[in-house]
Amino acid sequence: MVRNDYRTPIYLQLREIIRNKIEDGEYMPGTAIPSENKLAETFGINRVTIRNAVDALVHEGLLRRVQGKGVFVVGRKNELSIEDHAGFESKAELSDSRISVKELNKTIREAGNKYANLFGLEPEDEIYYIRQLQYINGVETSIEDFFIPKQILPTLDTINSSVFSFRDISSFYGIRLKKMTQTLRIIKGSAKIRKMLNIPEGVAVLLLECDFYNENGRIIAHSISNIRSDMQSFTVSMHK
Amino acid sequence: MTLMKTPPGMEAIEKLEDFIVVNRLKAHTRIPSEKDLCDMWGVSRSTLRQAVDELVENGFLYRVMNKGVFVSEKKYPRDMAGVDAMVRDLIDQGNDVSKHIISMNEIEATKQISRKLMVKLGARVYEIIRCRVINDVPCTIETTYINAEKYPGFTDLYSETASMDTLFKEEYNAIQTTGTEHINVTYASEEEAGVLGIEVGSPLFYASGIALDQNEEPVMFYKQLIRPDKFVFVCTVES
Repeated sequence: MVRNDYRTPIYLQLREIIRNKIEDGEYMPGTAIPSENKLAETFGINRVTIRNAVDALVHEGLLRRVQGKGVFVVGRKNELSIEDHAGFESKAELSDSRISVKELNKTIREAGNKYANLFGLEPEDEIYYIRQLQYINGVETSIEDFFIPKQILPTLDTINSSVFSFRDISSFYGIRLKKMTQTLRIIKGSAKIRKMLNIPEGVAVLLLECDFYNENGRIIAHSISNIRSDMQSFTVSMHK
Repeated sequence: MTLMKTPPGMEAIEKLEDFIVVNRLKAHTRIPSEKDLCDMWGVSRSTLRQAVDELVENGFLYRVMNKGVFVSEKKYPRDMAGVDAMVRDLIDQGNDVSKHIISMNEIEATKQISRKLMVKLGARVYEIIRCRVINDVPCTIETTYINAEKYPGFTDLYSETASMDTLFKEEYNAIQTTGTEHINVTYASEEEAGVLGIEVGSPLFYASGIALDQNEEPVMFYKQLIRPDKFVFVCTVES
């Protein structure tokens, strides 16, 4: 437990020092940071602590280790507004040229118990299941699974969901998206997902789940995204 | 488009998730044995095991050696509307929330702090580091920077029983309105792991942001480290 002691000196947080130097532009993207020995000498910290701090920033995606060459600054991560992530905004309004999407799977399946309960259907009712791979600047960053009752968007199979956002597609059908709720977790991620996204050992996965509501307060779609946490981060506008 | 059969692995995960929800299984309840679940759903042992593994990896279930698989505790919501909303919600839900001040100092603004708080390099700034403890478990570490020239004496007024939000409002007439928060993942350093009672290198949410006042001037710049085994970020967007 932390003691309430105002005199406790602030322990030197090397990870934060390096992070600040990157943010301040002292360590420029594409350049190497000082060697572990040099950092140990400068800050008077042991090598293990230095290695932990550097590892953390490598896993965060701010630094990259290059065998035999040193540790390099990658620069800023791709930061996306969380409200935009799951297609709540129109693709046209978004026009984020960094992002491209590849559709891996689009099928009709039975709702099953979970989605029957979520959407208020019978387990045998049909739902669309769409799996998309999202790239930012040409690198696989996330896998997104969409679940949408067939009765909501009966001809979704004829629409290219990698071109249009869920908001766009809904509007084609005269459906007004009223609300979206999101939850964001940090998980280890399944072996399969980690492999599909080439996630390095030690890097965590962000799991973003969204429920989309129509004007009547009914859930009309659900999405689950597995996101590489070293490739992407989020911003949220706070409203009070 | 023809009807495709749901892959068995996916189906098993969904059945398991639904089972917990529909039966309203409480935290630390043991789920039925692998064999019973396999018999009930007609899935293979290996498919079921993979489904359990995935839900364990995702933090919804946990394993106890020789005892079985249990439902994880529900995580606290960390509203993306900010820290104050989080604390209010937690208290409303009947949780015991307290904070410990790790350190409270007056420092000179670094380049990063000066830019965030829009003060001169080297200007006087309060740095307050706190740990929030919920139901006796340390869950977050927050570092807050406040412009000492604009909010003189803040550290004299602030204590473990005071609320920053209230102090700003009542003593300085500053109402925190909007801001942008950045959400990242970081990994616990030795000191952080020690404070939070977790393993070194465990992933943590790293939320940082600037709270603005009614005149859109920075009130504070903060960094919050949050245990992902205790918290989930939640957000509602309406249009």
